[in-house]
Amino acid sequence: MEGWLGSLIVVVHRWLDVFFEWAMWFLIALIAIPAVTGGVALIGDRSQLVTARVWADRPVLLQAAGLANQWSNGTPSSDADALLTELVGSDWFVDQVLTDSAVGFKILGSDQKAQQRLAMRQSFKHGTIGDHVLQVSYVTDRPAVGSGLLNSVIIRLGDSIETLDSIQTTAAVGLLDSQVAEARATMQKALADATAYAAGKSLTQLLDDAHYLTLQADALAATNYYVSLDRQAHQAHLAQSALPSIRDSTFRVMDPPSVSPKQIDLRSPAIKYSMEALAGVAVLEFVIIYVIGLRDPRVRSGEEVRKKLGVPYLGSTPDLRSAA
Amino acid sequence: MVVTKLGPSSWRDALDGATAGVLAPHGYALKPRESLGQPDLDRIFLERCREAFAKLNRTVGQGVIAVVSPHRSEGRSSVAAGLALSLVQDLERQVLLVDLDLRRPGQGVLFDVNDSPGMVEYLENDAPLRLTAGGMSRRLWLLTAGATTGDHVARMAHLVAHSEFFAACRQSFGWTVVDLPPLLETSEASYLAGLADACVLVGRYRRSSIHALSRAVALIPNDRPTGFVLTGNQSRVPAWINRLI
Repeated sequence: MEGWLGSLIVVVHRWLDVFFEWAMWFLIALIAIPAVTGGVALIGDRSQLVTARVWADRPVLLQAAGLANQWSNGTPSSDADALLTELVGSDWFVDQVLTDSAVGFKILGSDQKAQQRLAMRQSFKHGTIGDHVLQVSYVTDRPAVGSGLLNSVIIRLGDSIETLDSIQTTAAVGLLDSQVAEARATMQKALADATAYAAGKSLTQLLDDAHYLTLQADALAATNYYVSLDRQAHQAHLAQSALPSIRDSTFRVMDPPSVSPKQIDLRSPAIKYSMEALAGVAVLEFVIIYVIGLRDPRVRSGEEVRKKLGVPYLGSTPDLRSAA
Repeated sequence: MVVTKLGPSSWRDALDGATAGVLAPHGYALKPRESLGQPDLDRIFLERCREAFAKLNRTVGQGVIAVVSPHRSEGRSSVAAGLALSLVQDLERQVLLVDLDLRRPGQGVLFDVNDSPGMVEYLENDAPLRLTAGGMSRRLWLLTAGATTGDHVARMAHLVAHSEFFAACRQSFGWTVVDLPPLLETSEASYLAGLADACVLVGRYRRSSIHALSRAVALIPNDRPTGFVLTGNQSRVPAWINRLI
Protein backbone atom coordinates (compact mmCIF):
# COMPACT_ATOMS: atom_id res chain seq x y z
CA MET A 1 0.00 0.00 0.00
CA GLU A 2 2.80 2.36 0.96
CA GLY A 3 4.72 1.48 -2.18
CA TRP A 4 1.68 2.13 -4.30
CA LEU A 5 0.95 5.37 -2.46
CA GLY A 6 4.60 6.45 -2.66
CA SER A 7 4.68 5.88 -6.41
CA LEU A 8 1.46 7.86 -6.79
CA ILE A 9 2.87 10.73 -4.77
CA VAL A 10 6.02 10.76 -6.92
CA VAL A 11 3.88 10.88 -10.09
CA VAL A 12 1.62 13.59 -8.67
CA HIS A 13 4.68 15.61 -7.71
CA ARG A 14 6.01 15.24 -11.25
CA TRP A 15 2.69 16.47 -12.68
CA LEU A 16 2.69 19.42 -10.30
CA ASP A 17 6.28 20.19 -11.16
CA VAL A 18 5.47 20.20 -14.88
CA PHE A 19 2.44 22.38 -14.25
CA PHE A 20 4.33 24.96 -12.21
CA GLU A 21 7.23 24.87 -14.66
CA TRP A 22 4.91 26.06 -17.42
CA ALA A 23 2.23 27.66 -15.25
CA MET A 24 2.71 31.12 -16.70
CA TRP A 25 2.43 29.91 -20.29
CA PHE A 26 -0.47 27.64 -19.43
CA LEU A 27 -2.30 30.59 -17.91
CA ILE A 28 -1.52 32.85 -20.86
CA ALA A 29 -2.76 30.18 -23.29
CA LEU A 30 -5.83 29.61 -21.18
CA ILE A 31 -6.74 33.29 -21.39
CA ALA A 32 -5.36 34.37 -24.74
CA ILE A 33 -6.57 31.57 -27.01
CA PRO A 34 -10.24 31.71 -25.93
CA ALA A 35 -10.11 35.52 -26.02
CA VAL A 36 -8.68 35.55 -29.54
CA THR A 37 -11.13 32.88 -30.67
CA GLY A 38 -14.06 34.82 -29.23
CA GLY A 39 -12.78 38.05 -30.74
CA VAL A 40 -12.43 36.53 -34.18
CA ALA A 41 -15.90 35.00 -33.89
CA LEU A 42 -17.29 38.36 -32.80
CA ILE A 43 -15.67 40.19 -35.72
CA GLY A 44 -16.66 37.51 -38.22
CA ASP A 45 -20.22 37.30 -36.98
CA ARG A 46 -22.34 39.40 -39.35
CA SER A 47 -25.64 38.15 -38.05
CA GLN A 48 -28.15 40.50 -36.50
CA LEU A 49 -30.84 39.93 -33.95
CA VAL A 50 -34.42 40.77 -34.97
CA THR A 51 -36.78 40.94 -32.02
CA ALA A 52 -40.51 41.43 -31.52
CA ARG A 53 -42.74 41.45 -28.44
CA VAL A 54 -46.32 40.30 -28.23
CA TRP A 55 -48.98 40.91 -25.57
CA ALA A 56 -50.86 37.79 -24.58
CA ASP A 57 -53.94 37.62 -22.37
CA ARG A 58 -57.05 35.53 -21.87
CA PRO A 59 -60.39 36.87 -23.08
CA VAL A 60 -62.14 38.80 -20.31
CA LEU A 61 -65.39 37.21 -21.34
CA LEU A 62 -63.92 33.76 -20.81
CA GLN A 63 -62.86 34.75 -17.33
CA ALA A 64 -66.28 36.18 -16.64
CA ALA A 65 -67.83 32.99 -17.94
CA GLY A 66 -65.59 30.96 -15.64
CA LEU A 67 -63.83 29.30 -18.59
CA ALA A 68 -60.34 30.64 -18.07
CA ASN A 69 -59.29 27.66 -16.04
CA GLN A 70 -60.34 25.34 -18.81
CA TRP A 71 -57.29 26.41 -20.77
CA SER A 72 -54.30 26.31 -18.41
CA ASN A 73 -53.08 27.08 -14.92
CA GLY A 74 -50.07 29.06 -16.23
CA THR A 75 -49.74 32.72 -17.11
CA PRO A 76 -50.95 33.88 -20.52
CA SER A 77 -47.39 34.48 -21.72
CA SER A 78 -46.19 31.06 -20.53
CA ASP A 79 -49.19 29.43 -22.20
CA ALA A 80 -48.38 31.17 -25.46
CA ASP A 81 -44.69 30.31 -25.05
CA ALA A 82 -45.50 26.65 -24.46
CA LEU A 83 -47.78 26.59 -27.45
CA LEU A 84 -45.11 28.24 -29.59
CA THR A 85 -42.58 25.62 -28.52
CA GLU A 86 -44.90 22.88 -29.70
CA LEU A 87 -45.70 24.68 -32.92
CA VAL A 88 -42.08 25.32 -33.82
CA GLY A 89 -41.44 21.64 -33.21
CA SER A 90 -43.94 20.75 -35.91
CA ASP A 91 -42.94 20.79 -39.59
CA TRP A 92 -46.43 21.93 -40.50
CA PHE A 93 -46.06 25.22 -38.63
CA VAL A 94 -42.48 25.83 -39.73
CA ASP A 95 -43.40 25.13 -43.35
CA GLN A 96 -46.21 27.67 -43.14
CA VAL A 97 -43.90 30.30 -41.67
CA LEU A 98 -41.14 29.64 -44.19
CA THR A 99 -43.63 29.68 -47.04
CA ASP A 100 -44.76 33.10 -45.86
CA SER A 101 -41.29 34.55 -45.35
CA ALA A 102 -38.77 32.70 -47.53
CA VAL A 103 -39.19 33.15 -51.26
CA GLY A 104 -39.11 29.88 -53.16
CA PHE A 105 -39.42 27.64 -50.12
CA LYS A 106 -42.31 25.78 -51.67
CA ILE A 107 -40.32 24.61 -54.67
CA LEU A 108 -37.37 23.34 -52.69
CA GLY A 109 -36.56 19.65 -52.46
CA SER A 110 -37.25 17.75 -49.28
CA ASP A 111 -33.60 17.80 -48.18
CA GLN A 112 -33.30 21.52 -48.72
CA LYS A 113 -36.56 22.06 -46.87
CA ALA A 114 -35.27 20.03 -43.98
CA GLN A 115 -32.12 22.15 -43.90
CA GLN A 116 -34.16 25.34 -43.92
CA ARG A 117 -36.34 24.03 -41.11
CA LEU A 118 -33.29 23.16 -39.07
CA ALA A 119 -31.72 26.56 -39.67
CA MET A 120 -34.96 28.28 -38.74
CA ARG A 121 -35.29 26.32 -35.51
CA GLN A 122 -31.66 27.07 -34.56
CA SER A 123 -31.97 30.78 -35.24
CA PHE A 124 -35.40 31.28 -33.74
CA LYS A 125 -35.66 31.94 -30.01
CA HIS A 126 -38.60 32.82 -27.82
CA GLY A 127 -39.27 33.47 -24.17
CA THR A 128 -41.50 35.27 -21.73
CA ILE A 129 -41.18 38.62 -20.04
CA GLY A 130 -43.49 38.71 -17.07
CA ASP A 131 -47.00 37.26 -17.15
CA HIS A 132 -48.18 38.76 -20.40
CA VAL A 133 -45.29 39.52 -22.72
CA LEU A 134 -43.91 36.99 -25.15
CA GLN A 135 -40.62 37.86 -26.87
CA VAL A 136 -39.62 36.25 -30.14
CA SER A 137 -36.30 36.78 -31.87
CA TYR A 138 -34.49 35.59 -34.93
CA VAL A 139 -30.78 35.68 -35.67
CA THR A 140 -30.08 36.40 -39.32
CA ASP A 141 -27.70 38.31 -41.53
CA ARG A 142 -30.73 39.60 -43.50
CA PRO A 143 -32.92 41.65 -41.14
CA ALA A 144 -35.73 41.97 -43.69
CA VAL A 145 -36.08 38.20 -43.89
CA GLY A 146 -35.98 38.00 -40.11
CA SER A 147 -38.73 40.60 -39.76
CA GLY A 148 -40.91 38.79 -42.28
CA LEU A 149 -40.37 35.51 -40.51
CA LEU A 150 -41.25 36.93 -37.11
CA ASN A 151 -44.37 38.59 -38.50
CA SER A 152 -45.42 35.27 -39.93
CA VAL A 153 -44.72 33.49 -36.64
CA ILE A 154 -46.80 36.05 -34.74
CA ILE A 155 -49.73 35.83 -37.13
CA ARG A 156 -49.67 32.04 -37.20
CA LEU A 157 -49.34 31.91 -33.44
CA GLY A 158 -52.29 34.28 -33.04
CA ASP A 159 -54.35 32.11 -35.35
CA SER A 160 -53.41 29.04 -33.41
CA ILE A 161 -54.24 30.63 -30.08
CA GLU A 162 -57.58 31.80 -31.44
CA THR A 163 -58.33 28.36 -32.82
CA LEU A 164 -57.33 26.76 -29.59
CA ASP A 165 -59.39 29.24 -27.61
CA SER A 166 -62.33 28.53 -29.88
CA ILE A 167 -61.97 24.77 -29.53
CA GLN A 168 -61.57 24.98 -25.80
CA THR A 169 -64.46 27.41 -25.46
CA THR A 170 -66.71 25.30 -27.65
CA ALA A 171 -65.90 22.26 -25.60
CA ALA A 172 -66.50 24.18 -22.39
CA VAL A 173 -69.77 25.65 -23.68
CA GLY A 174 -70.94 22.20 -24.74
CA LEU A 175 -70.14 20.90 -21.31
CA LEU A 176 -71.96 23.81 -19.71
CA ASP A 177 -75.00 23.26 -21.94
CA SER A 178 -75.22 19.64 -20.92
CA GLN A 179 -74.83 20.64 -17.29
CA VAL A 180 -77.62 23.23 -17.73
CA ALA A 181 -79.88 20.60 -19.27
CA GLU A 182 -79.17 18.22 -16.45
CA ALA A 183 -79.77 20.94 -13.86
CA ARG A 184 -82.99 21.89 -15.60
CA ALA A 185 -84.21 18.29 -15.44
CA THR A 186 -83.24 18.01 -11.79
CA MET A 187 -85.01 21.26 -11.01
CA GLN A 188 -88.16 20.20 -12.87
CA LYS A 189 -88.24 16.86 -11.09
CA ALA A 190 -87.82 18.53 -7.69
CA LEU A 191 -90.63 20.96 -8.47
CA ALA A 192 -92.86 18.15 -9.69
CA ASP A 193 -92.20 16.10 -6.55
CA ALA A 194 -93.05 19.05 -4.32
CA THR A 195 -96.17 19.91 -6.32
CA ALA A 196 -97.39 16.32 -6.31
CA TYR A 197 -96.87 16.02 -2.58
CA ALA A 198 -98.74 19.27 -1.94
CA ALA A 199 -101.76 18.22 -3.97
CA GLY A 200 -104.86 17.81 -1.70
CA LYS A 201 -103.19 19.31 1.36
CA SER A 202 -104.05 22.65 2.90
CA LEU A 203 -101.46 25.38 3.28
CA THR A 204 -101.67 25.10 7.07
CA GLN A 205 -100.95 21.39 6.91
CA LEU A 206 -98.05 21.89 4.54
CA LEU A 207 -96.44 24.54 6.72
CA ASP A 208 -96.11 22.00 9.53
CA ASP A 209 -95.13 19.11 7.23
CA ALA A 210 -91.40 18.42 7.54
CA HIS A 211 -91.29 16.25 4.43
CA TYR A 212 -92.89 18.95 2.34
CA LEU A 213 -90.46 21.51 3.66
CA THR A 214 -87.57 19.25 2.64
CA LEU A 215 -89.01 18.81 -0.85
CA GLN A 216 -89.50 22.55 -1.10
CA ALA A 217 -85.86 23.24 -0.06
CA ASP A 218 -84.59 20.70 -2.60
CA ALA A 219 -86.62 22.33 -5.34
CA LEU A 220 -85.31 25.76 -4.38
CA ALA A 221 -81.68 24.59 -4.38
CA ALA A 222 -82.11 22.85 -7.76
CA THR A 223 -83.68 26.00 -9.15
CA ASN A 224 -80.81 28.20 -7.90
CA TYR A 225 -78.25 25.84 -9.33
CA TYR A 226 -79.99 25.80 -12.67
CA VAL A 227 -80.26 29.59 -12.79
CA SER A 228 -76.57 29.94 -11.97
CA LEU A 229 -75.50 27.48 -14.63
CA ASP A 230 -77.78 29.01 -17.16
CA ARG A 231 -76.28 32.44 -16.55
CA GLN A 232 -72.79 31.00 -16.92
CA ALA A 233 -73.77 29.23 -20.13
CA HIS A 234 -75.18 32.45 -21.47
CA GLN A 235 -71.91 34.26 -20.77
CA ALA A 236 -69.99 31.45 -22.37
CA HIS A 237 -72.06 31.64 -25.50
CA LEU A 238 -71.41 35.35 -25.65
CA ALA A 239 -67.67 34.78 -25.22
CA GLN A 240 -67.64 32.12 -27.90
CA SER A 241 -69.30 34.34 -30.41
CA ALA A 242 -67.08 37.28 -29.51
CA LEU A 243 -63.74 35.44 -29.79
CA PRO A 244 -62.82 36.59 -33.32
CA SER A 245 -63.67 40.16 -32.55
CA ILE A 246 -61.70 40.35 -29.28
CA ARG A 247 -58.49 38.88 -30.69
CA ASP A 248 -56.68 42.19 -30.47
CA SER A 249 -57.34 42.37 -26.75
CA THR A 250 -55.95 38.90 -26.14
CA PHE A 251 -53.06 38.72 -28.60
CA ARG A 252 -51.47 41.75 -30.16
CA VAL A 253 -48.07 42.95 -31.26
CA MET A 254 -46.51 45.36 -28.79
CA ASP A 255 -43.16 45.91 -30.51
CA PRO A 256 -43.03 44.97 -34.18
CA PRO A 257 -39.94 43.14 -35.44
CA SER A 258 -36.87 45.35 -35.38
CA VAL A 259 -33.12 44.90 -35.33
CA SER A 260 -31.78 44.89 -31.77
CA PRO A 261 -28.28 45.91 -30.78
CA LYS A 262 -26.04 42.87 -30.83
CA GLN A 263 -25.80 41.40 -27.37
CA ILE A 264 -23.20 38.99 -26.14
CA ASP A 265 -24.95 36.35 -24.14
CA LEU A 266 -24.15 32.76 -23.38
CA ARG A 267 -25.67 31.61 -26.66
CA SER A 268 -23.81 34.03 -28.90
CA PRO A 269 -21.20 32.52 -31.22
CA ALA A 270 -18.38 34.52 -29.64
CA ILE A 271 -19.05 33.08 -26.19
CA LYS A 272 -19.73 29.64 -27.59
CA TYR A 273 -16.45 29.49 -29.48
CA SER A 274 -14.59 31.01 -26.52
CA MET A 275 -15.93 28.34 -24.21
CA GLU A 276 -15.05 25.63 -26.70
CA ALA A 277 -11.54 27.05 -27.06
CA LEU A 278 -11.20 27.28 -23.28
CA ALA A 279 -12.23 23.66 -22.85
CA GLY A 280 -9.93 22.60 -25.69
CA VAL A 281 -6.93 24.44 -24.29
CA ALA A 282 -7.59 23.10 -20.79
CA VAL A 283 -7.82 19.53 -22.06
CA LEU A 284 -4.69 20.00 -24.15
CA GLU A 285 -2.81 21.36 -21.15
CA PHE A 286 -3.94 18.43 -19.03
CA VAL A 287 -2.72 16.04 -21.72
CA ILE A 288 0.62 17.83 -21.96
CA ILE A 289 1.11 17.71 -18.20
CA TYR A 290 0.03 14.08 -18.07
CA VAL A 291 2.30 12.97 -20.91
CA ILE A 292 5.36 14.93 -19.79
CA GLY A 293 4.85 13.79 -16.21
CA LEU A 294 4.85 10.17 -17.27
CA ARG A 295 7.20 10.13 -20.24
CA ASP A 296 9.90 12.69 -19.47
CA PRO A 297 12.84 10.69 -18.05
CA ARG A 298 14.51 13.71 -16.44
CA VAL A 299 14.68 13.80 -12.67
CA ARG A 300 12.36 16.27 -10.97
CA SER A 301 12.76 15.33 -7.33
CA GLY A 302 15.13 13.44 -5.08
CA GLU A 303 12.24 11.41 -3.72
CA GLU A 304 11.77 9.99 -7.19
CA VAL A 305 15.39 8.75 -7.24
CA ARG A 306 14.95 7.21 -3.80
CA LYS A 307 11.77 5.48 -4.92
CA LYS A 308 13.06 4.19 -8.24
CA LEU A 309 16.73 3.49 -7.51
CA GLY A 310 16.71 2.89 -3.77
CA VAL A 311 19.39 5.51 -3.15
CA PRO A 312 18.82 7.57 0.02
CA TYR A 313 17.96 11.18 -0.72
CA LEU A 314 20.33 13.56 1.03
CA GLY A 315 18.78 16.82 -0.14
CA SER A 316 18.78 19.34 -2.93
CA THR A 317 20.78 22.45 -3.67
CA PRO A 318 19.50 25.60 -5.34
CA ASP A 319 20.54 26.57 -8.82
CA LEU A 320 23.92 28.22 -9.21
CA ARG A 321 24.81 30.33 -12.18
CA SER A 322 27.45 27.91 -13.38
CA ALA A 323 27.36 24.36 -12.21
CA ALA A 324 30.71 22.76 -12.82
CA MET B 1 61.38 5.39 -7.73
CA VAL B 2 57.76 5.77 -8.62
CA VAL B 3 56.81 2.80 -6.49
CA THR B 4 58.63 4.24 -3.49
CA LYS B 5 57.11 7.61 -4.07
CA LEU B 6 53.61 6.26 -4.26
CA GLY B 7 53.66 4.14 -1.14
CA PRO B 8 51.35 5.02 1.73
CA SER B 9 54.15 6.42 3.88
CA SER B 10 55.38 8.59 1.05
CA TRP B 11 51.92 9.90 0.37
CA ARG B 12 51.44 10.65 4.03
CA ASP B 13 54.78 12.39 4.26
CA ALA B 14 53.94 14.41 1.21
CA LEU B 15 50.52 15.37 2.53
CA ASP B 16 51.77 16.16 6.00
CA GLY B 17 54.69 18.10 4.63
CA ALA B 18 52.51 20.05 2.27
CA THR B 19 50.03 20.97 5.00
CA ALA B 20 52.89 21.91 7.35
CA GLY B 21 54.58 24.01 4.68
CA VAL B 22 57.92 22.31 5.27
CA LEU B 23 60.09 20.14 3.15
CA ALA B 24 58.84 16.64 2.71
CA PRO B 25 60.93 13.68 1.52
CA HIS B 26 59.71 14.05 -1.99
CA GLY B 27 58.52 17.62 -2.13
CA TYR B 28 57.71 20.79 -0.30
CA ALA B 29 55.13 23.48 -0.32
CA LEU B 30 55.95 25.83 -3.13
CA LYS B 31 53.77 28.65 -1.87
CA PRO B 32 53.06 28.14 1.81
CA ARG B 33 51.23 31.48 2.02
CA GLU B 34 49.01 30.80 -1.01
CA SER B 35 45.34 30.83 -0.07
CA LEU B 36 42.15 29.51 -1.59
CA GLY B 37 39.73 32.07 -2.92
CA GLN B 38 36.12 32.24 -1.87
CA PRO B 39 34.07 30.05 -4.20
CA ASP B 40 30.88 31.49 -5.61
CA LEU B 41 28.63 29.29 -3.50
CA ASP B 42 25.93 31.07 -1.57
CA ARG B 43 24.89 30.49 2.02
CA ILE B 44 21.83 28.42 1.14
CA PHE B 45 23.88 26.14 -1.10
CA LEU B 46 26.37 25.49 1.70
CA GLU B 47 23.56 24.95 4.17
CA ARG B 48 22.03 22.31 1.92
CA CYS B 49 25.44 20.64 1.55
CA ARG B 50 25.74 20.63 5.33
CA GLU B 51 22.33 18.96 5.63
CA ALA B 52 23.31 16.40 3.01
CA PHE B 53 26.49 15.58 4.86
CA ALA B 54 24.59 15.31 8.14
CA LYS B 55 22.37 12.62 6.61
CA LEU B 56 25.33 10.81 5.07
CA ASN B 57 27.29 11.02 8.34
CA ARG B 58 24.75 8.79 10.04
CA THR B 59 26.26 5.85 8.22
CA VAL B 60 29.88 6.97 7.74
CA GLY B 61 31.97 8.27 10.64
CA GLN B 62 34.95 9.57 8.76
CA GLY B 63 37.10 8.90 5.75
CA VAL B 64 36.88 9.58 2.05
CA ILE B 65 33.71 10.79 0.36
CA ALA B 66 33.60 10.44 -3.40
CA VAL B 67 31.36 12.84 -5.25
CA VAL B 68 30.17 11.42 -8.57
CA SER B 69 27.65 12.15 -11.25
CA PRO B 70 26.54 10.37 -14.43
CA HIS B 71 27.63 13.17 -16.75
CA ARG B 72 29.33 16.54 -16.71
CA SER B 73 27.64 19.83 -15.87
CA GLU B 74 25.45 18.29 -13.22
CA GLY B 75 26.85 20.24 -10.29
CA ARG B 76 29.31 17.63 -9.03
CA SER B 77 32.30 19.95 -8.42
CA SER B 78 30.12 22.54 -6.71
CA VAL B 79 28.68 19.92 -4.38
CA ALA B 80 32.16 18.58 -3.63
CA ALA B 81 33.39 22.08 -2.79
CA GLY B 82 30.25 22.80 -0.76
CA LEU B 83 30.63 19.57 1.20
CA ALA B 84 34.27 20.34 1.95
CA LEU B 85 33.49 23.89 3.06
CA SER B 86 30.62 22.83 5.29
CA LEU B 87 32.76 20.09 6.84
CA VAL B 88 35.44 22.63 7.66
CA GLN B 89 32.89 24.89 9.30
CA ASP B 90 31.35 22.13 11.39
CA LEU B 91 34.34 20.05 12.38
CA GLU B 92 37.56 20.87 14.14
CA ARG B 93 39.57 18.55 11.95
CA GLN B 94 41.32 19.31 8.70
CA VAL B 95 39.57 18.53 5.46
CA LEU B 96 41.14 17.72 2.11
CA LEU B 97 39.40 18.38 -1.16
CA VAL B 98 40.93 16.46 -4.05
CA ASP B 99 40.16 17.16 -7.69
CA LEU B 100 40.56 13.86 -9.51
CA ASP B 101 38.71 14.94 -12.63
CA LEU B 102 41.97 15.01 -14.52
CA ARG B 103 40.43 15.60 -17.93
CA ARG B 104 38.50 18.71 -17.01
CA PRO B 105 39.49 19.85 -13.53
CA GLY B 106 37.10 22.34 -11.95
CA GLN B 107 38.13 23.01 -8.38
CA GLY B 108 40.94 25.38 -9.34
CA VAL B 109 38.48 27.66 -11.08
CA LEU B 110 36.03 27.44 -8.18
CA PHE B 111 38.63 28.40 -5.57
CA ASP B 112 40.49 30.80 -7.85
CA VAL B 113 43.84 28.98 -7.80
CA ASN B 114 45.89 27.48 -10.59
CA ASP B 115 45.21 23.83 -11.30
CA SER B 116 48.85 23.25 -11.99
CA PRO B 117 51.02 22.08 -10.37
CA GLY B 118 48.85 19.45 -8.80
CA MET B 119 48.36 15.72 -8.58
CA VAL B 120 49.60 15.03 -12.10
CA GLU B 121 52.81 16.99 -11.70
CA TYR B 122 53.52 15.25 -8.41
CA LEU B 123 53.05 11.83 -9.97
CA GLU B 124 54.73 12.45 -13.30
CA ASN B 125 57.41 15.03 -12.82
CA ASP B 126 58.60 14.39 -9.31
CA ALA B 127 57.40 17.87 -8.44
CA PRO B 128 56.61 18.79 -4.86
CA LEU B 129 53.04 18.10 -3.74
CA ARG B 130 51.16 21.35 -3.69
CA LEU B 131 48.27 21.80 -1.31
CA THR B 132 46.55 25.14 -0.95
CA ALA B 133 44.88 26.08 2.31
CA GLY B 134 41.73 28.09 2.85
CA GLY B 135 38.36 28.02 4.45
CA MET B 136 37.66 28.58 8.12
CA SER B 137 40.92 28.67 10.13
CA ARG B 138 42.67 27.48 6.99
CA ARG B 139 41.59 23.92 7.72
CA LEU B 140 40.49 23.23 4.16
CA TRP B 141 43.19 21.94 1.84
CA LEU B 142 42.82 21.67 -1.88
CA LEU B 143 44.79 19.25 -4.00
CA THR B 144 44.26 20.32 -7.58
CA ALA B 145 44.35 17.95 -10.56
CA GLY B 146 47.26 19.45 -12.41
CA ALA B 147 47.69 19.52 -16.15
CA THR B 148 47.83 16.46 -18.34
CA THR B 149 46.84 15.27 -21.76
CA GLY B 150 43.97 12.92 -22.35
CA ASP B 151 46.33 10.07 -23.21
CA HIS B 152 47.81 10.01 -19.75
CA VAL B 153 44.66 10.34 -17.70
CA ALA B 154 43.97 6.64 -17.46
CA ARG B 155 47.53 5.95 -16.34
CA MET B 156 47.38 8.73 -13.78
CA ALA B 157 44.12 7.41 -12.40
CA HIS B 158 45.62 3.94 -12.27
CA LEU B 159 48.59 5.26 -10.29
CA VAL B 160 46.34 7.02 -7.82
CA ALA B 161 44.17 3.97 -7.40
CA HIS B 162 47.10 1.70 -6.69
CA SER B 163 49.23 4.05 -4.65
CA GLU B 164 47.43 3.89 -1.32
CA PHE B 165 46.60 7.54 -1.75
CA PHE B 166 43.19 7.17 -0.09
CA ALA B 167 44.75 5.35 2.86
CA ALA B 168 47.18 8.23 3.38
CA CYS B 169 44.29 10.69 3.18
CA ARG B 170 42.42 8.80 5.90
CA GLN B 171 45.46 9.03 8.15
CA SER B 172 46.26 12.68 7.58
CA PHE B 173 42.80 14.25 7.34
CA GLY B 174 39.56 13.89 9.21
CA TRP B 175 37.60 13.96 6.01
CA THR B 176 38.62 13.85 2.38
CA VAL B 177 36.23 14.88 -0.35
CA VAL B 178 37.15 13.60 -3.80
CA ASP B 179 35.73 15.21 -6.92
CA LEU B 180 35.65 12.31 -9.36
CA PRO B 181 35.08 12.42 -13.12
CA PRO B 182 31.65 11.51 -14.53
CA LEU B 183 30.81 7.86 -14.04
CA LEU B 184 29.29 7.30 -17.48
CA GLU B 185 31.95 9.19 -19.42
CA THR B 186 35.14 7.79 -17.93
CA SER B 187 36.30 4.34 -17.05
CA GLU B 188 38.34 5.24 -13.98
CA ALA B 189 35.56 6.94 -11.99
CA SER B 190 33.82 3.72 -11.04
CA TYR B 191 37.02 2.13 -9.76
CA LEU B 192 38.04 5.21 -7.76
CA ALA B 193 34.53 5.47 -6.28
CA GLY B 194 34.93 1.93 -5.05
CA LEU B 195 37.96 2.98 -3.02
CA ALA B 196 36.08 5.68 -1.13
CA ASP B 197 34.23 5.14 2.13
CA ALA B 198 31.02 6.70 0.87
CA CYS B 199 29.65 8.10 -2.33
CA VAL B 200 27.51 11.13 -3.03
CA LEU B 201 25.71 10.74 -6.34
CA VAL B 202 24.84 14.08 -7.88
CA GLY B 203 22.03 14.61 -10.40
CA ARG B 204 20.80 17.84 -11.82
CA TYR B 205 17.14 18.87 -11.68
CA ARG B 206 15.48 18.48 -15.08
CA ARG B 207 18.76 17.49 -16.72
CA SER B 208 19.86 14.11 -15.37
CA SER B 209 17.75 11.27 -16.60
CA ILE B 210 16.59 8.51 -14.33
CA HIS B 211 18.15 6.01 -16.75
CA ALA B 212 21.57 7.67 -16.50
CA LEU B 213 21.34 7.77 -12.72
CA SER B 214 20.34 4.13 -12.70
CA ARG B 215 23.38 3.19 -14.76
CA ALA B 216 25.58 5.34 -12.53
CA VAL B 217 24.25 3.63 -9.40
CA ALA B 218 25.02 0.28 -10.99
CA LEU B 219 28.69 1.35 -11.35
CA ILE B 220 29.05 2.13 -7.65
CA PRO B 221 29.93 -0.92 -5.53
CA ASN B 222 26.89 -2.17 -3.65
CA ASP B 223 28.54 -2.11 -0.25
CA ARG B 224 29.46 1.56 -0.53
CA PRO B 225 27.07 3.84 1.39
CA THR B 226 25.61 6.13 -1.18
CA GLY B 227 23.29 9.10 -1.07
CA PHE B 228 21.74 11.28 -3.75
CA VAL B 229 21.90 15.06 -4.00
CA LEU B 230 19.72 16.92 -6.47
CA THR B 231 21.40 20.06 -7.75
CA GLY B 232 20.02 23.11 -9.49
CA ASN B 233 16.61 22.55 -7.94
CA GLN B 234 14.35 25.15 -9.56
CA SER B 235 11.09 23.42 -8.82
CA ARG B 236 8.30 25.97 -8.54
CA VAL B 237 5.95 23.70 -6.67
CA PRO B 238 4.94 25.74 -3.62
CA ALA B 239 6.45 24.60 -0.36
CA TRP B 240 3.05 24.05 1.23
CA ILE B 241 2.10 21.59 -1.53
CA ASN B 242 5.39 19.76 -1.04
CA ARG B 243 4.63 19.52 2.67
CA LEU B 244 1.12 18.33 1.90
CA ILE B 245 2.17 15.46 -0.36
